[in-house]
Amino acid sequence: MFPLVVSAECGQRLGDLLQPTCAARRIPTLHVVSVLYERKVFGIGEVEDGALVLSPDAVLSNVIAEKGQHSHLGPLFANEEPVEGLRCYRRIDSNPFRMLGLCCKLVGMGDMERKSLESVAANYPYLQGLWAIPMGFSTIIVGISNLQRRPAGLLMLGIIVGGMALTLVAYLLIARYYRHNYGEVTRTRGRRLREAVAVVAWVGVLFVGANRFLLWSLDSPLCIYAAAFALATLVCYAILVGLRAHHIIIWGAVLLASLLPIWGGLGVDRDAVAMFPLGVALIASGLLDQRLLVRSLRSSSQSIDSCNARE
Amino acid sequence: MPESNDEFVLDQLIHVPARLAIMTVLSSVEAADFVFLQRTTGLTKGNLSSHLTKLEEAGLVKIEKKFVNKRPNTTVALTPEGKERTAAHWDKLERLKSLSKTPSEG
Repeated sequence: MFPLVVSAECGQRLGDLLQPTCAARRIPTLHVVSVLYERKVFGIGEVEDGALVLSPDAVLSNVIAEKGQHSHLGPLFANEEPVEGLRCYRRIDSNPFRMLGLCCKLVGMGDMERKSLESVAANYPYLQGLWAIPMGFSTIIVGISNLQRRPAGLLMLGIIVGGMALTLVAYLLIARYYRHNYGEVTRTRGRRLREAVAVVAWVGVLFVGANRFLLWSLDSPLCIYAAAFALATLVCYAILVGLRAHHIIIWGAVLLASLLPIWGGLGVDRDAVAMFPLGVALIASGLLDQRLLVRSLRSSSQSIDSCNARE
Repeated sequence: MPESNDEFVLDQLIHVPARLAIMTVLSSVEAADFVFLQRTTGLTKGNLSSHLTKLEEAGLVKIEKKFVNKRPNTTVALTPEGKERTAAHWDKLERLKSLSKTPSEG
């Protein structure tokens, strides 16, 4: 059985309200009370010795919750706050036996989305977008170093060595930042497998797209290398975390731009120049991933806060 | 309509929102450390610690304490029983939730 302690007044008044439905269903109404879920009637039962016994036969949610048929219930359940006098929520929530708090707990479940909690944990390693900042800068440095008219001699060496040192320091700081501020998770075997598939897919798409013997051509007015990079990154994101709006916008824009016939004039510098927008896209995409991570963590903890507050 | 009242009986140890959140987060990873659980649930250190102790006592999670770079690090993972009970609990909640829906809501 599934007992809930409610006040006699609560039971009586709700019983009166529900009388027409109960009469139609041949259920005794004197002490019938409702069990609420998200302000809808979840089920009804009889009160025996101050406890509501919710029997399977008394669960009439599908019938009672049809507001059109029972419009008199609307004003009662439309309020956020419990109606003074009836105080169904409070009566049930504040009873000393925690196990009887069906109403409160089920209302809490609505706020605390299972999927969002699961996805925030599962996607956490892949939404740590700050890693993309040093990665983006490295891509830009690779672009500079591959230019035909790159800075000469020592200056170029300085840029490469300095860039590598900065990247290394940034990686260490970012790792520390995440470890201290967000903590760490160990991915499931399934996730690790998916990660391996994503890496293989990324390399595969890039290999096909940027291979000199396949689609790539020096004479092409398109930038196949950047197109392959953008497409590979989209595929990788799709496998790892699912495509979000900012992934589609940023990498879709890079993909489109690289397929415009505007790259012909750059000659042998074409792919090196393409590294600049690719680096910027990496950084922008990473920063938006980080924002998404912060927001999803905040919303998951807020939803639990609100559940706890109702308890 | 449920066939028996057992379908309504919820696992009270897990059903506390904070604990349900902890168990749900842990069910989607192999293990998570204390900081991550604190971040996702928004609980204070003391609160989280007490919930974890209750879950550990019930055999639903296993807690490993170690030092990483001379700093204490607590890692939490679900036990097989914890995984099973969390999944069963969510199934039960989904069934209860579906009962509250009108036919038009699907």
